[in-house]
Amino acid sequence: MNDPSKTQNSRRNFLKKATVIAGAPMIVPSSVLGLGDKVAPSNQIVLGGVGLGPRGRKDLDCFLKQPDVRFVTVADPQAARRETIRRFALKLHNNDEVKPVQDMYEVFQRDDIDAVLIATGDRWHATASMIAAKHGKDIYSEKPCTMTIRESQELDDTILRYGRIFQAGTQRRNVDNFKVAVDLARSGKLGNIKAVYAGIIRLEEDLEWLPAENEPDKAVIDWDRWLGPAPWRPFNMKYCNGRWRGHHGLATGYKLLEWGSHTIDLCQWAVDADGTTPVEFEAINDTTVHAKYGNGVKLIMRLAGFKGEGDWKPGLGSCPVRFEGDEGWVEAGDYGKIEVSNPKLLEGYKFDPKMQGTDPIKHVRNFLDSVRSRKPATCNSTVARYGHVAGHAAAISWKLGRKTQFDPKTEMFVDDDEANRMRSRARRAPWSV
Amino acid sequence: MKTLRLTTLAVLVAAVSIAPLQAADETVLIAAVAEDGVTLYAKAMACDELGKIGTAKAVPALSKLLADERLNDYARDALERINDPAAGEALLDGLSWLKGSLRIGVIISLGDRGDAAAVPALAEIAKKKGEDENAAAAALNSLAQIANEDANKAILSVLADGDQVAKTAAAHAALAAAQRLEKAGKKKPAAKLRSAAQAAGVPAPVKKVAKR
Repeated sequence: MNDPSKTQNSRRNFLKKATVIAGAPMIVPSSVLGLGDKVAPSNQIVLGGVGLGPRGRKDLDCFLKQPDVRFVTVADPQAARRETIRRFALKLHNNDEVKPVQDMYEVFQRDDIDAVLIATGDRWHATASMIAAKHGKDIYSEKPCTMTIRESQELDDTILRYGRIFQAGTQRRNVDNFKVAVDLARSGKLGNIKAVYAGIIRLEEDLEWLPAENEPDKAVIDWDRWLGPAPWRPFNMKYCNGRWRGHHGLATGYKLLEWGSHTIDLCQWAVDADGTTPVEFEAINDTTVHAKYGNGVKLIMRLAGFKGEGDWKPGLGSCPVRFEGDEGWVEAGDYGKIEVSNPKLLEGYKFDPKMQGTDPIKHVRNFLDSVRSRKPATCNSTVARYGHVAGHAAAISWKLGRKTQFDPKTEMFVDDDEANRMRSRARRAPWSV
Repeated sequence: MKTLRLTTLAVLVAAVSIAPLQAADETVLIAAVAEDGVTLYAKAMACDELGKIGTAKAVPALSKLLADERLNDYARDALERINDPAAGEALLDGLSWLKGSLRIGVIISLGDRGDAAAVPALAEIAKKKGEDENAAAAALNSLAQIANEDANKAILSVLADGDQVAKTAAAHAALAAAQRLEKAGKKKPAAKLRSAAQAAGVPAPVKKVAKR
């Protein structure tokens, strides 16, 4: 779907010239690039940005450190933010060709752009990703990638339909210590896995609307575009300064997916569950949700925090995970370290203990290599689909305050109409895909 | 958890000045949606809750909010989720009196509901007789979500007879419908849609996807 807010003429122009690109872009594989050297412009991956705030800048910095990336434009409904990105690229990377635009369709419609980095708030991630896919772009999207179970399905289907490369910004699959921890689980070195633990922050739902303020001029902040597919609410500048987080309709999953999109993702990987989800969810309280896979393995989502909250090994950092087998256990967190039941488990592994879990550098590289090879990225849309569905289902169970049964094949709750109604939410018109 | 709903209801009860909390949830919520003088916020929250537990009884009140630019999507969302034909009929009726984005929203909702009864109306819109192109494209998308025999026919019809803009939108819809049908094991109609998308004179890149 084209930008519905545009005139008919612009829509017609778009449909005439920009549609879908099915195959690979004309880019030479990275194996022949010699990535340490300068890359010829014809072999560069041309990147556009959408909604790049503080996290987006971190991602962008990683992209700009790659010799085969050329960053040319950023779209943001906030003038100040897009100008910040232009200056960031200029000052830190000597890039003077970034053209800031307000409308993300201007990025998607550019024929010269191969890939887009989407780092808006939660509300836009899936919708923008799907629109980008229909315009033939490959996509790196920050997390949580979807607002609902249904959106998780739609995103995956759309990416597959258009043959695009998608990388969810759940970078811990490309962070050394987490990879080692997962390998210990998957290789059988911990014995049969009985339970996996995903660190989450406290679940809560903020239904409040902040007090209405006068909307700024659209050239400064286009509030309608900022909201996009999210439910309408009156303007308040705090939302635009990052205080959208936690607000129902702007953020997703009652905060469970804030960290859960990372940690559940790792747990899914550890128990080889990338194409499925747990079959049962039960919220114990606001800090713990129990789930169970069809084979009996438990997934326990429980409180963690920046200050070592929760029942985790101290000093591992945020977003911890723990995998327990009948012969041992392993625990890892964002500070790059690993704790194991027996030090011998780590024999033969080499990893950089200084690499932080928040660092997307290797994840970005993985995405770019996938753009070249056309092989799925580590956290492709299907991986993201099931990890996010598991998170959304857990959050719905918490919201309902009761145990729910879930069918991973239909991705529906079993005999629970109320829960199933919570699998989706209408997107605000005209923003759709 | 459950206490959150009670909190929401308490706010709504206060807002409409009726009924003790132990009254049927839906009655309180409908009153919040329907009554004048209730804040936008309370109406929005009531719509959210009706989306989860509402029945056909809530449909008339929700239908009236479809014309409200600020609350249209809250009402649509609730109507999408109410599993009663009355909700679909209300959305369908909205096609005749809503304009612009509000009407496009209803078109999208009919697709999201997978409402087969909406196919004839969506097919008319997709043909673009007097329609704007965004409405026509939204109708094609919704037909793709329904993807029954009549919906597929409507998509094929636009692929055959539409102008270039319409054909391209229909090609996207055909690919989406084909994917849906393939998942359901209906390979024959899916192949027909893909083939038509390839043959429709749409831009080459779309044809490549159709071949996949």
